[in-house]
Amino acid sequence: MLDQIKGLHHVTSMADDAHTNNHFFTNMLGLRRVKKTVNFDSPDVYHLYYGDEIGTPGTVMTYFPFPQMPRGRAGTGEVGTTVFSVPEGSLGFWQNRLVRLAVGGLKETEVFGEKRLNFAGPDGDGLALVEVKDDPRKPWTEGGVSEDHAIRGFHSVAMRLRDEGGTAELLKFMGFEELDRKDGVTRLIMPGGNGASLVDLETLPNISRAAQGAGSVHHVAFAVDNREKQLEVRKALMDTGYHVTPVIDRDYFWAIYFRTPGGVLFEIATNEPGFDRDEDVAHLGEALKVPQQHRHLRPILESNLQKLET
Amino acid sequence: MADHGYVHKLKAGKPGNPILFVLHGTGGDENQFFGFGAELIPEATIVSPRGDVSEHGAARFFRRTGEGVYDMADLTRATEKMASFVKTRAAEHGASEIIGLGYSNGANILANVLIDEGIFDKTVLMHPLIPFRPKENPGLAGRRILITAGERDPICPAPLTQSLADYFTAQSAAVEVEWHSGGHDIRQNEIAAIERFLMA
Repeated sequence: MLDQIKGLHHVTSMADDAHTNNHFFTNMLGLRRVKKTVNFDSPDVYHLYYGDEIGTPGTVMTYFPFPQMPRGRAGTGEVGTTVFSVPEGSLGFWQNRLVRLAVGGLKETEVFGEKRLNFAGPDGDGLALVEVKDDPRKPWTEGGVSEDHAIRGFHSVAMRLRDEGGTAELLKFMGFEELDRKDGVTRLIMPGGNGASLVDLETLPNISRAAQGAGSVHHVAFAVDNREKQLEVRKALMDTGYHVTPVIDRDYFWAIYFRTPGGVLFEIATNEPGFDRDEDVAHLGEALKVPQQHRHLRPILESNLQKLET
Repeated sequence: MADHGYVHKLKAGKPGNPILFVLHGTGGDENQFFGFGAELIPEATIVSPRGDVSEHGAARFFRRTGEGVYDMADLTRATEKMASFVKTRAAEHGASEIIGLGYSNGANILANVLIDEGIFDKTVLMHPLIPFRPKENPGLAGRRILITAGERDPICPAPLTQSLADYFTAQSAAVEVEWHSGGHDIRQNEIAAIERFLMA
């Protein structure tokens, strides 16, 4: 069993319109846009990152907004719900706020005894807020949501699977432990994790596979401290029979990817070097950052990419 | 509204079973591999589309300007259309797994859908030809791919087959390659390899 992984690192999803996506996560949910860059493989498309003040691993939701992208179709083999942590007693505030902002899919639920507010992102994204007592993580409060209510970071992700077996086994190998099991959902926890330490596995044997599109999660990334730990994880996964990509430089972290038995794409990402490697913390996410290999495209990208509010 | 439909043959399996897309080569049609597909995975939903481009009467899935020279704009169009067709049919049939099998021109469109969208869990590419270096796609990690090829295939030269296999390997896909000593024809050992691959 591995001990290098510390919880979630980031969740990457797809969207249709960049402006709508940016507005939703910054102005409506009050997260900070910590980086405005472009997709490495399609530099004509933004890669937007939203999180706490510095984009601490375990707080960062990222999006590829592909203009005119058709909606995804929910199903198995994907992350169905991405859940953020908010302070105890704040769900009433969020209920009012999201109603006033005409956010869809609002529904109060209780999962493993925790009060939760489910809602839909701009492309039907499966999102939720859950009240967590004494989450020690410091929130970003300059996005229009006060400290009493502001999002602390990820609480968990819930994966929809036809059969949880292989994925549960993999997560246990990665260092997660089974915490609870109820109503067809298995909850796993990363002991000593970074606060974004829970994964729920929902077994849905009769639901068809997801079709990815706008509003779908593309992959979920787990955090390791540094490249050395990442190489240890890579070797252990490969020794176990997983096909893992070589280490890829993503400018703000290093990444490896592999496909899980349940079909979800996993990434292991390093906490180094972080989002302040090429910008002052005071101005994170303001300027358009272009990866080295696409620098020559900057004038074209600047004139073609949709303008975003800062 | 974009066009997402193909003339196709369909045998519906029960929801919760795999869906297998079989794609013919240039000049073939939806009958070429339909029966073969049904024999390979009897419980699967089998879908066999007919190419929507005609080259002097021969059906293809995208245009070319010469042997091995692709009309890249048309390839992009065809890739988007095929991806959308595959996703829609897979969702309609509640498929547990999406599997693709294509020969020659059918393998090429299948390979390009895989490269761009990674949507197939398992893919069989019989005598594919991808004459360009595809873009990186970490989404291919762990995808299972079988490439079958002829060592003396004049249409799909062996070095290009190998570089496609190397590309998939570099994306950490689980790639197997089955060669035979002949050309662009389909041989027994490649059929046996396909059966083994789909059984595992």
